[in-house]
Amino acid sequence: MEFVEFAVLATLLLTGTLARAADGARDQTGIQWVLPFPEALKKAKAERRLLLIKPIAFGTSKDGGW
Amino acid sequence: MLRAGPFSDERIVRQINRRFVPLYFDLNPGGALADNKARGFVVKARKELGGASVNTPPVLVMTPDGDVLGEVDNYASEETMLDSLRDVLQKHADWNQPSDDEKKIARSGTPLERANVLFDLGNVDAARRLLEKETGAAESALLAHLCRLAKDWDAMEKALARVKGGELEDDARVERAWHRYAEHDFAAAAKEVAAVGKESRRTTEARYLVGLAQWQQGKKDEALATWKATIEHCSQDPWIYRADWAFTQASEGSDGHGSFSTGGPRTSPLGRIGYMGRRNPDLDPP
Repeated sequence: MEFVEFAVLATLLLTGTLARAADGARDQTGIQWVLPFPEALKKAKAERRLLLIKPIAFGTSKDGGW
Repeated sequence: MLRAGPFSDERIVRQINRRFVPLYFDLNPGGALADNKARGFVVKARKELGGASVNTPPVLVMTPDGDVLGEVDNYASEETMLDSLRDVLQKHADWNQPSDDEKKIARSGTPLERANVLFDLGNVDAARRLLEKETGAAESALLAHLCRLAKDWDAMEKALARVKGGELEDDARVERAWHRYAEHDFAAAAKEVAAVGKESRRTTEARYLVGLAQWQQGKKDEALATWKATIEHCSQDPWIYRADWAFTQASEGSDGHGSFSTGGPRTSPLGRIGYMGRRNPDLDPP
């Protein structure tokens, strides 16, 4: 594969996963989650609030499973 | 487990919504709920989370500049998480300032609005003192709720005597049911919430409580059926997550002590993934 093709493919793959968290079914615990990350960061800066971040390592599903 | 436990605890939900900007994402870049920008932000601060296989990550409290100010274990109890969040806020007062909305409520809000902000921030005693001066039904319902959480039953009943009419009646039924439940009068607890309708905002809590009452009376099959029906027929909310936690653990063995994991088929009615963690404390006798 040529380098340019690889770069395009890599870019597509990366952008395709940038905001999946925001596309899945939302958690309904009552916590007012802010997704994706850029939105959360923007809000935290604007309102001078700390980010509370839960990284998930067990796997996730589009229907909101985690 | 995190969502069914600490993240479904009203006190923690209120504290997070009032003082934090919460975010979740899948660490696996190919995961269904991936967020690579969030991943980059977190891995920069915690390089160990960037590996192909990582231990269960904690909940991280971070500044927008990427500094980690606190963390809470994924399997922490509700009390541990609440203490940890409040500890971070106490130690970093510059991140714990009232919003414009809060300032406005402090200046000109109703007693109910002010009490809710105090409750959000964990200042329950001040909220109670404020509400004790009021005689309205809504104020009394919130006061009764705070008294119930503190297991101050006499004060709860005194407040509930002023709660009459409409949906607040369901609030009164649920609070009284928890009182009966705490006194091990499980049949009375279930009877107390029998009139809570499907449209009530307390219906999932009421159904969860009925399942618990059945469980404590040794009626395991009935309890499982109650929780499963609640999960399948009601909109998701914290009590649905809690019911899912109870169901999955109560399904394991006769005493609910099984080490449930979704490593195999996803048998959690909500389809939750992974190790379900510690035992749901609600399965123990009150």
